[in-house]
Amino acid sequence: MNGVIVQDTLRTNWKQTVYWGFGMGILGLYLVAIASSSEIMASYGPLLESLPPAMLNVIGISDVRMFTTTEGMISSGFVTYAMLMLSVYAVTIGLNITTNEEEDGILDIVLSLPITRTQVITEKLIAFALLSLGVIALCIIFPLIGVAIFNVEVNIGKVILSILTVYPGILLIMGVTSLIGTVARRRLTTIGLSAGFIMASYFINFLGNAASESFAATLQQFSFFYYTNGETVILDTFNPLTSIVLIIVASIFAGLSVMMFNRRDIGL
Amino acid sequence: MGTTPIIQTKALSMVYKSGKTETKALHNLSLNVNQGEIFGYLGPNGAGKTTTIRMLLDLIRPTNGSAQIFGLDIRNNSVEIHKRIGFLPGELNLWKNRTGNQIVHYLASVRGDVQGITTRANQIADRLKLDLTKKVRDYSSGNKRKLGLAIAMMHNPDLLILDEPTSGLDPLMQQTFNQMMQEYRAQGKTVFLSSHVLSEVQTICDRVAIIRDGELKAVETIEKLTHVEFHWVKINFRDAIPSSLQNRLISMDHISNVEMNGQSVRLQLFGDFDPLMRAISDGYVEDLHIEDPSLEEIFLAFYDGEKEQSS
Repeated sequence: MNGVIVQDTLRTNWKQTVYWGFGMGILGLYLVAIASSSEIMASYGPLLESLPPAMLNVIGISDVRMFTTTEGMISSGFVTYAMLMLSVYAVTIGLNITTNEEEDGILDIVLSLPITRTQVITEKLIAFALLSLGVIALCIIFPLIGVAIFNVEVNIGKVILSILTVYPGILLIMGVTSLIGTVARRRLTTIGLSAGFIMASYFINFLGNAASESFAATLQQFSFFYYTNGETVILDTFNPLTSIVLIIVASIFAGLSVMMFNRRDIGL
Repeated sequence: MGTTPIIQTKALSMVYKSGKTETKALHNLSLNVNQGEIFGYLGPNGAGKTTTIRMLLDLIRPTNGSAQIFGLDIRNNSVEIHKRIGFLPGELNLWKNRTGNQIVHYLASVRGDVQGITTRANQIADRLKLDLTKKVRDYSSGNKRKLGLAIAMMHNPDLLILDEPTSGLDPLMQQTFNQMMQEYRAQGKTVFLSSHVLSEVQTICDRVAIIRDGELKAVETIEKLTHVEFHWVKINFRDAIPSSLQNRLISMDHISNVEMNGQSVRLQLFGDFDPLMRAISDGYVEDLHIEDPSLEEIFLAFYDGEKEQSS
């Protein structure tokens, strides 16, 4: 592995990273601006306290503290939606591992070079994992700029950590999309199946929130959204092991996609 | 030309499966391509040429059989093999938003000698009159083909595997391509090219394999394949062809496909010329023109013969 494909992937995809990071970062900055208003913060508390717990669960809030503290406001207003929106980004990078180049017929030239298939796919996975980290970095930087501009009192460590919980989710979707792409080979099929995986995860989590005393709550633990919303960080119940497990699962999917890619014909 | 096989396939077979449908793309292909030769791989569309090439490059895996390049197994030693191979696919697809230079630089980086390879790519591009500063999406199909040739040859590989290399090239560039292939051969390097353009194969190849419906039909030297069993003869008479001569030509043995047009006649002559010369001695012959059959005619005759045998 000489890193040429990593470098090339970084060079040709950095703009996409900046656009996504910038877009998401601005959203974070906007939420900090909202959170900086003591009037808004003061009005949220009584409003949320008046809602029944089941209603709060439906909108993804299991504890009123999520809206009554600045870091909670940033987390619930930004991190949850960031995960949903960055799922789209994760699918696009997952498609770039093999599916796009295969469907475009470019892989024929790439694989005629003195490199193994494992090297091609592994270097791309590494490059896109780094680029995703770039998006997350921008998602962190912009809210922090907001904190500085609006002079908001906030637990910066918690804000950073809650945003970082999204990263394993991106890696997981990238791994899943990469695996689906190496099996399905077709771009549209891959997009469809990956979107199905994301929507299913989202609704499992949503239903688990809405019916916290039922089987749906147990099932919720199988949704990656359950672990990537930053809420546990704000409520001090964050277990780093969950993020590590997500990264391990993402690595397993990535490993399976390498294995599948090695075993099959190209471009049929 | 050496006799060391550079490419060696043994009973190579490929069956494509789509649902319950099985398509036999290649059946028991056993072939040797020797060092220092330009080997033509001829066949109509869908004959199995591209399938063979894709298997040699380990892009697809054979259902049965094996193949070696440089004495190395194509599956277990693909990296070693690919170091010494230049490949031009039949349908060349590249990154549309990159310039020729960017693509050359990237591929050279993967190969490991950026300076040397890009210099050589520029030399090839100059020779093919290709502007490497343009983006791929702005290239015509001919220029894309030239870029593909530059990519295939830029690292000075020991073996070139070219799938329909001249499709889209203008006649002048085809000539340049032919020269380049001959120079390549002169260096002791090997070229394996697939084509359905028979004239191209006839011009540059040392040996030709003919494939049809996934089966190898023949492997012959160009000399042997073009060893003519018949000639086309065109005779121009000063006066209108007498009807007695017309009848005589039509009824003669070893003559067929007689076409008459006023004062001229064109016919296919098998065997010796003497009976024809005696037959036309009644008329005043102004001009007599003898043509060897083209490889295409031999190729079609080859297929027709096969068809007749099988029916």
